[in-house]
Amino acid sequence: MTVTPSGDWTSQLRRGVLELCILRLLRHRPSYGYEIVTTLEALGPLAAGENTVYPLLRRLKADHYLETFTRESPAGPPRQYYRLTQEGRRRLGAIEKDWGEMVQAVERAVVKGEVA
Amino acid sequence: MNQQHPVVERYVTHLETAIGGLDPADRREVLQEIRNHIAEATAAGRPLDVVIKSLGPADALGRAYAVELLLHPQNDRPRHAAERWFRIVGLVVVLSIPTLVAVSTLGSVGISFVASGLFTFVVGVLEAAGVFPWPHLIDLPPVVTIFLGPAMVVVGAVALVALRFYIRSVVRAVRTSLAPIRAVDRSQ
Repeated sequence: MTVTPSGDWTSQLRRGVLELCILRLLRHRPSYGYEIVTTLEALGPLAAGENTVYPLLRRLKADHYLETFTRESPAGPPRQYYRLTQEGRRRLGAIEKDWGEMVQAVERAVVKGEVA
Repeated sequence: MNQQHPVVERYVTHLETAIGGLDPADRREVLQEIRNHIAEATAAGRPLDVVIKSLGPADALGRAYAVELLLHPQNDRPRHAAERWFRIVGLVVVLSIPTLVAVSTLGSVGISFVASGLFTFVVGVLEAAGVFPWPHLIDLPPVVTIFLGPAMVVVGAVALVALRFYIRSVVRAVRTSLAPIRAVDRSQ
């Protein structure tokens, strides 16, 4: 991961939206840890390390937003898949709504300069 | 990748120590997940040392799990929500009959004694002054009714104060049950 002058700010921002990204990623189909990590890696600035993603997955499971099941892998040990629960879908809806409002507010404040 | 590789085993052993505070089921799943990650990554062609380095030190990974699973404020929320509803149902079961008795008894005694006491006092005063249009409406000497009225008001007021105290206690108990419960250490 590239360290930039705004690295700490980016890190905080990433941490905040990572939950949204993971829930969104699992909206339509289940996925397993390694696939989730590599998918997030491909998102550039949103890329989070394994040591952030895996603990977050466990916490989302502990919060009952995600549930796990095991499925055989074509190669290697059986994979542990994550999928959204009903509560997870409600959580995702609520976060997406908050995110939309946040983006609009930032757009007004930073881009259009409506806030002095 | 052979999962018995000494580097993998050393890493997993360190991680197991680092997540010793988690409950055993969580611990097993975490270790299996990290083993799976290493297996998937090496099967995808990444060198083992790169995979291990990318995971970060086992201690740091263990701390990250501990932070998410032990310290996160929303942790255990569904279980606490269930506990809360059990407590509310328990309160309703325990308090329903006492509340019915308290409200009906103290309420009726309080209102009727205050109203009757005021009425008796006013009648007594008017009779003593000789201006009450229906003498002997209350079959007691005016002096007695003048003192009896305030006594009845006091009894009624005491009943109403007791009712208010009871209702406030019940409301406080229900509010306590509805309040979110702080997260607890899952290792306990």
